This record gives sequence, structure tokens and C-alpha cells, in this order.
Amino acid sequence: MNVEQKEPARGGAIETREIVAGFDTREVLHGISMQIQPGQVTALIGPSGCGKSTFLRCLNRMHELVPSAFIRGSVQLDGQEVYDPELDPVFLRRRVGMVFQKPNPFPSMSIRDNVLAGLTLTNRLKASEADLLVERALNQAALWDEVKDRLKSPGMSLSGGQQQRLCIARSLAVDPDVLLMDEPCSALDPIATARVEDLIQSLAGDYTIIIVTHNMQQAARVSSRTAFLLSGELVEFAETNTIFTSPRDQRTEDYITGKFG
Amino acid sequence: MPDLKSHTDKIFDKELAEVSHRIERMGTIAGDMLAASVRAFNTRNTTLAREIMDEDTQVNRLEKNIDQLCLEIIAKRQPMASDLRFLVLVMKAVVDIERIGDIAVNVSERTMDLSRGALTGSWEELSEMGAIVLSMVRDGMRAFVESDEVLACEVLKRDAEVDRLFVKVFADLIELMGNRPDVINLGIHVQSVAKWIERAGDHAMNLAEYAIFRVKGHDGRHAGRS
Ligand SMILES: Nc1ncnc2c1ncn2[C@@H]1O[C@H](COP(=O)(O)OP(=O)(O)OP(=O)(O)O)[C@@H](O)[C@H]1O
Ligand SMILES: [Mg+2]
Repeated sequence: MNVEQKEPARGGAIETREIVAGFDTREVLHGISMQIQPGQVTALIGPSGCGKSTFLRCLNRMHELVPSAFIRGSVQLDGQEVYDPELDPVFLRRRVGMVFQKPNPFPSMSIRDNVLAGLTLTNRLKASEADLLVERALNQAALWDEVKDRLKSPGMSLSGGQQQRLCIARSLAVDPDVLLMDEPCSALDPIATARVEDLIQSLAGDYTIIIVTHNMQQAARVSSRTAFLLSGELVEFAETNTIFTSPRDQRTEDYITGKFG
Repeated sequence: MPDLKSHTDKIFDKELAEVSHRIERMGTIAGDMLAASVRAFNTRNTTLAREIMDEDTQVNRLEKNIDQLCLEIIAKRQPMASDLRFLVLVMKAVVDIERIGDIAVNVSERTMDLSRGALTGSWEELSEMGAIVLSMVRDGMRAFVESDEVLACEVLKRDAEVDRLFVKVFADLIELMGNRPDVINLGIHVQSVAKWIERAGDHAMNLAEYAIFRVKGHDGRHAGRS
């Protein structure tokens, strides 16, 4: 651990100001300003390619891992600048966990080690503590019953939907403040989806969650606020109940009612 | 429909158009029934009154049928925003339209009762009330189906005149019954007719308010009137 570097404060309030981001010469996000209260579930909706994943990745500095990526503007986590050069992105990413669109368990690791992967780098856990943590995280991710008898099997031996829930368990195990979920249910069956949605709602209040979803009903069910992104612009950001019953912007209306031109 | 843009899934457009078509039809029948019942009352036409009573089954059948269609579309499409508002409001509107049909039946029943007595006299204010309420029902329906907010507001404005006429009819009847105890029985029937027609006006107001909700996206009920 590098003692020079600061850890972000706990809480989970996010404020972005005029985020402009893209790849090479191509601007993908054209100035996104959003304020997200701690403990809230925010849904991010918008057509494919509008920049949802890019936006999420800007929040925990994963965007900059792409060599051609650029970003301007500011992201604050509990008032602290995320792009402060003195801030360790590794710590930031522990505070701001992410579940990706495609499941990405560590291929060489067992199910159990995958859950603990984020922790073992810094924490020394007793085996019994680790066992408890693994069980809790897998339970939260609605996977425990399916894998409890084969925790030593490789993570890759699971089905796609199970791998996704394993990744959710992994991100929960480090107890982040913010959880970014990029279409976490796209590979899940309706039962696992219901359990993940239940999880999201039970985490709300303690965790700030931003979920990207193409399922409008899912956004309506789990989030308290919804943001509609179109071609790299934030068209509307409002109470979820308002967005899905009477959005203000005609473009939002057209998108959520299925009028794509 | 207000939005010129159509759904990417064209079948969805057709389904919504079908709902719109059916509720329009239901509204037309109920409106015609009400018009006929007022005419039957004015002319004490018992044959017409009896016909109206038979038509009510059609309205009832349409109510169920439209509710069912809306439920199926909601289950299948999980509509959002203006589509969701439209379908939910249709399910509310059918209740009001069905009541309008019931009122036409009630007015017809009173007409039958009245035909057995000898209470004549001109009920000019009552016919006037009937005409206004009828225009409210027809325009309320049209405002809802065509998402015409301006027309809906017009409908809401007509209510004050209905109220004024109702108070007048009521007062006249009380005076008449005070002077002629022999017609109290019939006077009460006329009074109920006035009350029913006034209530049909309330249902028309609801339709107009649904029209505004459909367009504006928020419920304006109980804002201006109480
Ligand atoms: N690594 C990359 N290099 C270059 N361009 C990229 C890269 N990643 C994304 N893009 C481009 O950025 C734009 C936004 O992509 P992004 O993945 O943020 O969209 P999205 O809203 O998440 O879409 P989807 O709903 O399909 O996941 C797209 O035009 C995409 O082609
Ligand atoms: Mg994406």
C-alpha cells in the first residue's frame, strides 16, 4: 500500500460536472452533469451506443485504462475529486465497484477465490472470516445455493448467468460505497433477475447504485431516479416515477414508448 | 392520437388504435342513449324509452370487452408514459361511459313512470340542461379520443351553466309541489330526472379531465372544482 496516496471518503454521493469523454478524436460524451445522492438507486437508460458504459467507466476511472481514451470535466465522490492525481485509482475502484455487461470472473481462480479476489490484495482474513464473507456475498448475489458444494471449482465452470452473479458477489465482498452495474441481468433468467433486483433494492440506502439497463420495467422497478442518455447527452434526469408515467422531453417519451424513428 | 410518430412495432400501434376505436364506439352508443332518453322524457315517448333500456346491454358488453383488451395489451406490452396513461385512462373512462348508459336507462324508467301520470307543463330549463350535458358527453368523448385539450377545457366550463339550470329546475319543482300536493309523486320523478342528467354532466367532466391527463401527463382532477 502506497502511504502517499489518499483514500476517498466514505458515503457515496457522486457529482459529475461537464464530463466530456471519448476515444482518440471521437467524442462520445458531450458534457454530462449529474448529481447522485448517496444511497440512491439511479437507472441509466438510452439506446445502444449512446455512451452509458463509457459514462459508468468514467465514474471509477476505468475509462482511462483504454489507451486511446480521453476525459475532461470533473467527478466528485463525497466532495472529493476522483481525478485528483494523488488519488489511487485502485482504492477508488474498491469504493466504486463495478459489475460489467459481460461476466468476467478471473479465469484461473476458484469460485471462492473469485469472491475474495478484491480483498486478498490488501486484507489478511482468517479462513473462518473468509468463509463467512464468501457465503454472505454469494447469498446476496443469489448464487449461494447453486455453488455451496463446489466452491473450489473454477469460476469459469459456471454458466453465463451464474458467472454474472459471481461477479456481483465479488464486487459486494469488498463492501463498496458505490456499485456500478452495467446491464447486470442481461444474461440472467427471470428468477435470478428477480433476485438481483431484490438485492439492488435491499442494498439501496446503504449503497449508491447506478444501473444501466435496457429493460424499462426493470429501471422502473428498482430505481428512484432515472437518467435518459441520447447520443452522449443527458436528455432528462428525474424521478423514475415521472420518467415512466409522464416524461418532460419528447425524446424520452419516444424512447420509452418504443418510437425509434 | 396526438403523437405523429408511430411505434417501431407497428402491431402495437394497431392495438392502441383498436382500443381507441372501441371506446369511441362505446361513447357514441352511450351518448345516443342519453340523447334518446332526454328526447323520450321531453315527449313522454314510452316506446323509445323501452328501446333505450335494451341498448344498455351493448354498453355493458363493450365495457368488459375494452377492459379485457387493455389488460391484455398491458400484460403483453408493458406500456410506458403516454401509452400507459392512455390505457389506464381508458379503463377509467369506460366506467364513466357505462354510468352514462345507466343514467339513460334511469331517465327512461322515470319517463315510463311519468307517462302513467298527468304532470305536464314545460320543463324548458330541463331540456336545456339535457342539451348542454349531451354536448358535454359528446365533446368530452371526442376530447379524450382525439387528445384535444382545448375542447376538454371547453367541456369543463359548461358545467357552471348546468349547475345554474339544475338549481332553477329544483326550485321550480319545489314551488310547484308546494302549490299542488296532487303532483308531488310525479314531481319527485321529474326531480330525479334532473338529478340524473346533472350527474351525467359530472361523468362528461371526468372524460374531459382524462383527456387533459392524457395530454398533459398529470391529474388535474379536484384542482379547480370542489
Ligand atoms: N474502447 C473503445 N474504443 C473506441 N470506441 C469505443 C470504445 N468503447 C466504446 N466506444 C464507442 O463509444 C460509444 C459509446 O459506447 P458505450 O459502450 O458507452 O455505449 P452504451 O450506451 O453502453 O451501449 P450498449 O447499450 O450497446 O452497451 C460507441 O459509439 C462505441 O463505439
Ligand atoms: Mg454498454
